[in-house]
Amino acid sequence: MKKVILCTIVWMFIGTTALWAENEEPKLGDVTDGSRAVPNHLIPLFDEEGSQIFLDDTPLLPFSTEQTCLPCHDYSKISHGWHFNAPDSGIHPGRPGHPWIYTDRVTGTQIPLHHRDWEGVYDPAVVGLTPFYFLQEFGRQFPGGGVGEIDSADISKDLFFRWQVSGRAEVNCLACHDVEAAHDQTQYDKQMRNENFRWAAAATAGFTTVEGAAEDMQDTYDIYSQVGPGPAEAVPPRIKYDDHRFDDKAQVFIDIRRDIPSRRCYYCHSSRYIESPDKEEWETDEDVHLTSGMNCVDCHRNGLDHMMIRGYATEAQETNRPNIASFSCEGCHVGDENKWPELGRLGAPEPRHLGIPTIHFKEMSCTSCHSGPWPRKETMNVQTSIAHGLGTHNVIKGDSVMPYIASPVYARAQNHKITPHNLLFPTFWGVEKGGDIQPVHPEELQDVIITAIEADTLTDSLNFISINTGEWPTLSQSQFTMILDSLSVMKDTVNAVFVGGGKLHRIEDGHVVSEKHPAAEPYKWPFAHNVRPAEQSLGSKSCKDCHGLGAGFNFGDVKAASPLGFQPTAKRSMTAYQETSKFYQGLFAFTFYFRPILKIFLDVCLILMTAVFLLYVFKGLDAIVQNAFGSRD
Amino acid sequence: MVLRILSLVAILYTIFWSVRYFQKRPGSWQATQTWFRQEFKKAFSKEWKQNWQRIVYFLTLISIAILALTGLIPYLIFGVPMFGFILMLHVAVSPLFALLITIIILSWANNYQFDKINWEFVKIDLVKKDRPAEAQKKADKFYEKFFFWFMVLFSIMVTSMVLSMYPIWGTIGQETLLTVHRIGAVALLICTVLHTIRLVQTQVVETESS
Repeated sequence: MKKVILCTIVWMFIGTTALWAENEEPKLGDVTDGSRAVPNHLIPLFDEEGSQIFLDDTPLLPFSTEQTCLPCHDYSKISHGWHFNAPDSGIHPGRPGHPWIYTDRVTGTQIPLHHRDWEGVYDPAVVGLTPFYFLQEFGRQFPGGGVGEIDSADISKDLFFRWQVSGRAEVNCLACHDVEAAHDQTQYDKQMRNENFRWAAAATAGFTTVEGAAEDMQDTYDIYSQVGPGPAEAVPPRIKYDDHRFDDKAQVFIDIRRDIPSRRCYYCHSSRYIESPDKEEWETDEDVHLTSGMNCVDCHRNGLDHMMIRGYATEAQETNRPNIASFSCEGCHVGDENKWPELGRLGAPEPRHLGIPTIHFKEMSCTSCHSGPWPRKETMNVQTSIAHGLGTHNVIKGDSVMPYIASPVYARAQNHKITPHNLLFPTFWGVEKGGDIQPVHPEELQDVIITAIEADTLTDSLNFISINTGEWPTLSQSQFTMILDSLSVMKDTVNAVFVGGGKLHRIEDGHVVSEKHPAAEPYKWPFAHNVRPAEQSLGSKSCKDCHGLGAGFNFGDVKAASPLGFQPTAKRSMTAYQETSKFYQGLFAFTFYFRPILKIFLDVCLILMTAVFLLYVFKGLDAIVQNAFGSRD
Repeated sequence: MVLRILSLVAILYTIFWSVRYFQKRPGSWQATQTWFRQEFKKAFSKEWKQNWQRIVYFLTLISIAILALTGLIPYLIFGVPMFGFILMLHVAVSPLFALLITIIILSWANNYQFDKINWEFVKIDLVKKDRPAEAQKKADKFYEKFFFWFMVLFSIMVTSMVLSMYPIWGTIGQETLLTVHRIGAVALLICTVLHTIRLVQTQVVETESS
């Protein structure tokens, strides 16, 4: 009986707590009274312990985005938004997106990684990237939150003390919302590399300066007492605030906006096509939506939950959010006649699509014809902010820098429509276990590969130049054999393999055997920008834009490069990703050369048939009239 | 979906009606088969120059059959648009069909004008259920002409698909043309079957009486 009463009390307590939580008043900054004016953010700064920051504090601590924003905004809700919830397996991963690409030039490694469960990506932990190392590796474009806030002790006890020194990487609200011209997002990259996770977001603000590096500090370093620093020359991480920006209540104005300008998005979401004929920036245009005055966030909107709309056609259905259905290409440009009219939203013109058979809309996404560069005979290499660190400092820049991402690849997407994709062939050394390939951490192999490169005195200089300029080395068959043999010895296995160029390579009886394997299949993710004007879309010139015998859309080749210099660069036909055949597309394209004749021929037939039909209809009418009213004679 | 169901019902009803037609006239099914065999042999014999109209007619029937199989089966049975080699076969046969049906219309139209006999039939025997043998002959002749002109109309509807190849029709226009094409195709198939039955019946009766 006592147990029953106890259980009832416990349940009532839980129930009332949950009810209280649900009924919690929204915070000041999370509701609107209807005014569209921009709120002034003259606010006090708080450190991660929740204490207000004053200029005479000793030591001066970096302001925490969580604690500073918390008085007016529901941080816990925001931190589950799309940019931050990748490690949450309960969130629908949605359609595949841009992966983090782990790149190592010496070993020629490029592996797509992500915490989301997208087919073809590896969990970062597979290559030893626990949250701490993940932040170090990919911190430059990391938005904070997610693995940056996972309880360090739960993840890796070995790194517990390092986490205490570096701090957590909280959601970096400033990365998007701080529109001040002095905001410097590259500081975030610098601080993350220095393991200054705690200082990274604050360092980007226009009124702070951060110096020193947590990575130089010993495990026992204490940020409050500043006891236990590293070597004598090492500078402990510290922050300085611009005292002119503090008012007499120690409040600072931060230019925080909801309507985020696109330049803030560009830091992480830029791309550059290498072989594009107009690759100079001044020769290129932005997305047509932006040039007509819109911002990225006009379509990629979000509420307080920061579940930013990605904008693809099936998103509303997949995420069970019917209210976002209109925030896709079709939503604004085509609308749904059965619903409240949303056509023409934000001034979107209704497409006419004159002469385009409707089968195109069933088989292809809007972006196929309207987005990305014009397809060419061979895919181009595209560099992206996330993969190549565009816009950041201390990154090797150049046209041939790894990783190698092929684009545009017109492939079937998850919704079975042909959609332009970026595509990455994974390249790594590994060990086969029961059919699965376990990647080997590149650092384990670097010495072996350098030894192999040095063994060939004819090519060693060229290979080292390649590595130093951001490319992978070109390996001969003997070098390849040497590396795989060493890997076999190192891992005590006979199943050492190399994945690259779309195939799995191994040594069998002294010969290189290359075969297909799921692990060697490319990871591809759809892209939607830049959108070109309608006049520049595929099909604007003629059907042969895609259905011509040499059209890149159907007959383009997708390069599958690899460091194996003794094998020719593999190429796959675009049709391989469209679930059709090159023969069929060729035959179909061939018919388009006869289409003008066919049109004329059918026109003549149609005119003759109609003329005869009308002739006898009128004759019949004539007969009826004569019978009814009598002839003139 | 509604169009698909209606089309299937119409085709099934035509099959049902045709079976009933032959059941009501003992020996007519065998006579029809014989007629087809003989006429087919004549058409593709050495004297093909004298029989060019027969050749055209049989080729038209074959082309309609191919177009119906390639076009209607994916749409009506599987609910998917034509694709792959089926689409290419359909498009390849379509100009042949257009040419043949145009020749048939040009060469047969004059003979298929309604005349006074037809008008008499309409006035007196059209609504009768049990017609005497002479009236049935008139009926067959009338319906042969009737379905011929509907074949012409639906051929025009089907061939109007060529208009979709011009950049003057937007998405709604394209969908409308496709719907017109599909309705026309189903109706043309039905009219062709019904016309052929009446044509053969008339010919068989004429041959027997002569």
